[in-house]
Parts: sequence; structure tokens; C-alpha cells
Amino acid sequence: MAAMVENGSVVDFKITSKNNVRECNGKPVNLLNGKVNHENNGYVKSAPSKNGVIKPKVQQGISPMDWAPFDTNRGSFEQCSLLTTALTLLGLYVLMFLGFVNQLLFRPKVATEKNREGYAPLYNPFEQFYSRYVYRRVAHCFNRPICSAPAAEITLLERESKDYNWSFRFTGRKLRCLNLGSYNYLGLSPELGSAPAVAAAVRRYGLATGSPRAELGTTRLHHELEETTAQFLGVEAAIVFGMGFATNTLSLPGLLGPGTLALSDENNHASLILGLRLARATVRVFRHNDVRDLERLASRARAEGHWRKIIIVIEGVYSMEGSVAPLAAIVALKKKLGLYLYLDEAHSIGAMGPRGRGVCDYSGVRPQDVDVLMGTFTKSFGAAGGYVAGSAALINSLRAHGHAHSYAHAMAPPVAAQVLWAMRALDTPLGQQRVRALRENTRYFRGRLQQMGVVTYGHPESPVVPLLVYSFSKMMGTVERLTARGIATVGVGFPATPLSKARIRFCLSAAHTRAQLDACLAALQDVVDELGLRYSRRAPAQPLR
Amino acid sequence: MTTVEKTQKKKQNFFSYWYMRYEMATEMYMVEPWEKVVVHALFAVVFLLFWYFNSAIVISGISRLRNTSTHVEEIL
Repeated sequence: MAAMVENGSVVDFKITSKNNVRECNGKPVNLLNGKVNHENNGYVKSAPSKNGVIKPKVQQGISPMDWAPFDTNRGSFEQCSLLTTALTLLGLYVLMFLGFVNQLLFRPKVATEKNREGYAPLYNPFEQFYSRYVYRRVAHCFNRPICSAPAAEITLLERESKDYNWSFRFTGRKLRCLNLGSYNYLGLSPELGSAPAVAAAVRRYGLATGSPRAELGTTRLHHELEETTAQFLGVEAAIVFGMGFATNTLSLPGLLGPGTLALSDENNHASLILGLRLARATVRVFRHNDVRDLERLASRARAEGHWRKIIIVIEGVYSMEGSVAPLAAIVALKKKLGLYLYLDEAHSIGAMGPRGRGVCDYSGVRPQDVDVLMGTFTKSFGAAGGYVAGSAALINSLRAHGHAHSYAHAMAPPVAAQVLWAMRALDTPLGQQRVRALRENTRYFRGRLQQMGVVTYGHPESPVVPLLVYSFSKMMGTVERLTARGIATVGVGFPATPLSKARIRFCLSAAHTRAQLDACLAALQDVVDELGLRYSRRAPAQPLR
Repeated sequence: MTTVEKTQKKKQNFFSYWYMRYEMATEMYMVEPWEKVVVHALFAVVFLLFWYFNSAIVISGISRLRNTSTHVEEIL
């Protein structure tokens, strides 16, 4: 060994004698005089032109994408005026200030933590403060109990509170309301014909399998449903789960892992965000539906060169924005850069596209071009659960590595029967008529809202219609007034939306008749006039028909 | 209903409507009555401070500027 140094210790074990010989031959002063460089054992890199040939440095540049042939429409996101923003923020300051005063002066009428000195608090202090002093004031607009099927109409149980929403009491009255809050996009309900199939499934298999799919939970219905789902979507294979949220949350960790980069849309659903966190993937967020921002992130990630996989995670229809992903453009980008694509079709399957096949059908993308197609049965199919579909290899891998197949309870047989029925019903003339009816309702409703001069977000074809009211008071006022006029809708505020962007969300259904929509629009017109919700600064559209 | 009553009713409606809109704009629509009083008092104090600032400093400053010609003399 030539690597012995002045005090006899070996500095660097990595030194090979062969290396040293070579170096020492060239530079006799360097090693054997006892002066050893600790880091590089005396090896000096020669100039790049060793043999006179200079290799040109290959620039790994990626040419920018030409977006001209694609529809890159992000959806409509009209900005509100500065005054509206300022007033909304002022209102939030007022609420926060009052909350602190309230907290200082009174004991909250809820369970409090006692004898917990030395322990970490059970709840996040800000969340606790927010839910007690901001959310509580509007709590009667949320969590409203119902006592009927969520069809075109719905029955609400009336509640009242005598202590400013700290507690509620049922009055015993029932309110029959027009339902614009449930995700029953196609309006499929048991009375349309699924009841015999569902009843037969209950009689034969019971209500639950009492076991996960991987153990004793797979019935013929599950196989049939998976085959039908794959055929319905036009891909090789599919796997179904008993819960829609868990489909994302438990499948993503099976597909991704550390060393994977996920490019995630900023408005992705909580289930996707949780799934990505559980997968321990690196997440980079791009601006909502912005393909140029996505391209910037993706090409930078490609240039970094050390990711095992790069996957784009998007939704088909975004449930809070009512926007539709520019899928054709994203698929082109994915193909160009060699990325994977995970598409969550929870709100779009059954509801979008000429045949109700979701946003692939709508944007004319081959379903095979999307690597992972995910969707739920909870919306258009009027049941519960979710699916992941794609290549057979993907689905087999998910059966082995996804947690839901092995550990979660199998989808209940009657639910599987309902989904099977709904999926088959969608291809009948009646089903296709429902898809068309939903599209027409959407266009009509969105068109009329535009004429009204209110701000709505999203895509003209999306059945989720958010109407911006900005402040909590206006959200509460609108929901209260609409309920009094027999319209049940959902108000959404922070934390589901940004702080100053509270909104009312209308979910349209094929089951709504034109007369029902007109009644809703008439009621809404009154509320808009009364509360001053005409925030739109665009020229009103031409009247429809 | 007499014409006087009608006008009174109209006025009342007008004021209650715009009071509701004021409450909506300041998020006071959703707070308890005593909290409304606190916020009204706070707004009144802020308004009066602005008033005082305007009358005592801004207006007197402007009037002094208007009535004096020293700055003109300085320039000349």
C-alpha cells in the first residue's frame, strides 16, 4: 500500500494501489513525500482535452411545448374588485377580533381539556379557535340532517338553536326542498329499476362480506363489476374498492414511493393530497389547470434527472371550482416528457362527455393514454366506493401493493349490484338521455346565472356550479334565504376554499326538470337582488332561447 | 293606510334594508347582538378619530396654506 502517511495512519481506504502508481509515476512529489491531500489522494484531474478530441457538451434542453393545437382553457375565474376583497378581509378581521374578545371573556359551551398540565394539547389551538368563533356562527348552514333519498327533491329536518349555534334542537318540522346540493348527477335512484338486482344481491350475499377482498371478500359480483368497469372505460382491467376517498388515499401509496415526484394541481381533493403524503412522494404543486406552469415544473424535474417516476396528479372536474382539466394538452405534455398521469374522475365519470365516459370522453383522449384512471361510484352511479382502472399490470400491482385490496372491507354486495345496474343503465337509451339532460341542464343553468350578473367559476360544461359570494355573512344569508324558499344548496367557505372566496355550490342533476331549475333561478334572483351578489364585471351574455 | 303611514313604512323598509346590507358587508350579520354593539362602538371611535384628524389637522393645515403668502414670498 502506498497510502501510508506521516504518522502511519491510513487516510483514505478507497485509494487503490493501481491508482497511486499511475499518479505517482506522473507526479513523484505528490504522494510519497508524506504530503497527502485528504480528499482526493493527490489525484489531479487533467484538462478535458486528454487526447486532443474535445467532446462537445450535450445540452439536455427540452424544447418548449407548442400549445397552439390544444385547448388550454383553465376555466373562468373572474377576479373580484379590490373593494370586495378589502371588505371581505375587513369582515374577517372583525370576526377574528370578536372571537378573541369572546374567548377572553366567556367560557366556551363545549367540552374543554382538564387536568392536562404537561401534556401536549389535543387540538390545534387555531383550529379550535376557528371552529368555535367563526365556523360555529354559520354552523346551521352545514351538516344539515336529511330524512329522504337525495333525489331531485330532498327532505331536510329543521333545526333551531337558542344559544347561537353552540347546540341544536330539532323542531320536528320537515322541509321538502329542491335538491341542488347532492352529487347525484344522473339522478339515478332505486325506483328507476335497480331495486330487484340490489335486493337479490342482499338475499344471496348479505349486506357485507365481513372480510377484505384478498381474504374471503370476493364474490362473483365483484369480478363482474371489475370487468364491466374496465369495459365501460375501455381499458384492460379495473379494481374496485368500498370507499371513494380511500381509493385515492390507499392506492397512491401502492403506486408511488420515496424518490417519486408528484406534480399535483393546487386544487386537488384532500384524498389525493393525503394519498401523496402517505406515499412519501415529493410533491410539487402547479397552478390550477395551468399547463404552462405544469410544463415548467415537469421539464425542470426531467432535467434534474434523479426521479424514479414523475407523475402528474389531476382531477377531471374540480368539485370546488367547477373547472375541467385540459386533458388533451396534459396528455400531449406527458407523452412528450415521458411522464405518468393519474386522473381522478370522481366528479366527471358518468357526468361528462357525449357517452358519459368522463373527461377522457369529453376531451377526445384515448383512455389508454391515461396511465391511472381513478373514479368513484358515489356521484353519478348513486352508490358508494371507487375504482382504479388501467393496464392489467397496473391493476395486478395494485392488488398486491395497494392497501385497500388486502386490508379494507370489500365493497358491500348490494352496492356492487347497484353500480353494475347503473353502469349498464347508462348505455341504454334512457341512460344516454340522462347524460344529455344533465348537459342541457348545465348549459341552461350556467347561462341563466351569467345573465343574472353573478360570478360563477369553472367550465361551461361542468355540472358543479360555484357562485361566488366571498364573505361568510353573504354565504349564510344566501343559504338561509334559499332554504326558506325551498332550495337546498351547500355553502362552502374556509378551509375548503381560500379565506375570502366563500361560495354557494350548486350541483346539477339530470333529474331536475326545467320548471324546477326555473323555480330555483327565480328564488336565486330574489336573493341576488336582496343581498347584492352581482359581482360580475363582464358584459351579460345573450339570453338563451 | 294613510299616505303618511305609507311613506313612513317605505322609509323604515329602506333603512332596514340598507342596515342589513351594511351588516352583510361588515360580517356583523352573523354575530351576537352584544358583539354588534362592540363593533359599532369601535367603528364609531375610528370614524370620530378620522373626523377629528381631518378637522384639526388636514382642514386647518389647508386653510393656513391658503391664507398665507409666505411661501410665495420665499419663492420670489
